[in-house]
Amino acid sequence: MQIHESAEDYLEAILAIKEEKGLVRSVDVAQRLGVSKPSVSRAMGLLRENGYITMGREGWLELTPAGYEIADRIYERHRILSRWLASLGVPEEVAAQDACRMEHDISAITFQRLKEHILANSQG
Amino acid sequence: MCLNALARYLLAVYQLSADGAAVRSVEIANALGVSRASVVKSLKKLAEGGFVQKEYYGSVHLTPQGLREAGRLHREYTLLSSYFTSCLACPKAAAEKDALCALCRFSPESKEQMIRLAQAQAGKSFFPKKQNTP
Repeated sequence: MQIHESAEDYLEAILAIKEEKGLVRSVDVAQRLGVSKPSVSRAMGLLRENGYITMGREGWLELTPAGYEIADRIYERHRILSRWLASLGVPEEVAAQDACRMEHDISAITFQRLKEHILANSQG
Repeated sequence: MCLNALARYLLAVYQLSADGAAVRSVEIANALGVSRASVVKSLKKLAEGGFVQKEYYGSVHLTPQGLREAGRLHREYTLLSSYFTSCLACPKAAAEKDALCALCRFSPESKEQMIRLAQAQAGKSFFPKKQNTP
């Protein structure tokens, strides 16, 4: 299934929040993405329907393996892009924002080069 | 007016109007791989901003202001593209695609840094170190 860009944002947000806080609720996702709770509810419904997340009792959100694969890919891109821009001298906050804007569309080969570049320089 | 979102359209008009000739919206749609409706909508906004002038049947040409702005965008785009090719060794097609994305979506700070490095790299290539080869 061709996943929409904003669905990728939701999955990435869930993974990021899980890493930071351990447990994820819809309200955390709403806050992180700056969207309304009804928007998140609707998105979570679609993601569940398509097998990318599950919702446990008390409303804790979990990624399925399929959801995790997408979330991890985008999250990795976000991290590498942020680190790359920060390494160029861009302020961290701006770097993070720009990373968000490019993480879905960057070419695979360019991302590969960036990853190599960042990893090589962090060992130097 | 948010030029970032319209940058790729202005750039397309510039690139397609080789000698200042009018460009048809269908040509722009084909070049960008978007619908003609999207093109018409964007050209309307560019016209409102004074960057293009509309002619008959959906053709446009650049105004002097549009030419200046498009020229600036094109130079930025070329430098961003060369950042990807010369600093990261990306293949040309990917570099151009990602440069366009960066042009339209990145903050001025990020673009400035990429351009600075691209220019530094170009400086190095222009004056290569002397080789001791016969």
